Amino acid sequence: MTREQFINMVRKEQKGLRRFLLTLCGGDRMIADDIAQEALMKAYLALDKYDERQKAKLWLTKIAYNTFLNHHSQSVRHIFEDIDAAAMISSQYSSDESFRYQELLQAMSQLPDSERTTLILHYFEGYKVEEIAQITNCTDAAVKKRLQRGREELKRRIKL
Amino acid sequence: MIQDKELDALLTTFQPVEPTDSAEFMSEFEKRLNAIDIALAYHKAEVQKAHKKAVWAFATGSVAGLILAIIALALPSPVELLAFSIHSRFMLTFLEYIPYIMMFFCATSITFGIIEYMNRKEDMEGLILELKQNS
Repeated sequence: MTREQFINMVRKEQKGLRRFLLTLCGGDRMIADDIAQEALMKAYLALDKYDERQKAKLWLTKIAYNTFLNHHSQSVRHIFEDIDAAAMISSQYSSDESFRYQELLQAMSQLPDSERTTLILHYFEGYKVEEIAQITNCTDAAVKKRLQRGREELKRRIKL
Repeated sequence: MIQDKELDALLTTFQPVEPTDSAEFMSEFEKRLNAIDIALAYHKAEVQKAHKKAVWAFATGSVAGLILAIIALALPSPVELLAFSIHSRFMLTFLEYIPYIMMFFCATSITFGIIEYMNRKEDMEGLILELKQNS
């Protein structure tokens, strides 16, 4: 893949990637964008390992997720500490809906990383179980278990 | 606690907001990409230079070593000339091998001398290029 092709790929996929990282980073746009940039640089340096048969979005998301984990281990946990951060991600909804989604996001931010990421990838980004397994480097069964555990935890935490 | 259906409805209907500043993000991305390209090009040039230096060092070391080996072999043995009344085994061994020891030091000095010369030449070329660009 040439440099120009890579730039075009990024142009096409950056929105989804940033949206995923923004939700993962608890609405902190600066950190999310920093991680996105770092992940894209890593992807550029690893272009020779990219298999063109693989979906570009999946490949970039996997790198972004690993970059997030590296970043995450060095810094504080990203949670939706205030309602504004959650509101930033759910701003396109009416105030009533927005309030429900803010509660959902806050509850999600308190879940362990693995469960939170699995839920975000599955419900918000539309990935299938086997694709999530590839991104998070685990088995399909583990992904299903995380989805189930995450849902149970959300049900317990959300009080609408 | 909410029910399964309510949670499903929440999870499936929610769509996180799309980032709107794509142009800014892409501009920053291309800036970083250019910086990486410059760093990669510099690294590649440095590797090539190091490779060139290694080849030169090997060639000069071999030539200098060969010449010095011939000279050393052609010299009369210092043991015969210097070991008049020396009985120390260590000194006798040392005197026996002194041409080779000297040869090793000479070859190393020549090699490092040439590497140093090449380094200085590169520095000078860089300086001249910088001066030309400034003027």
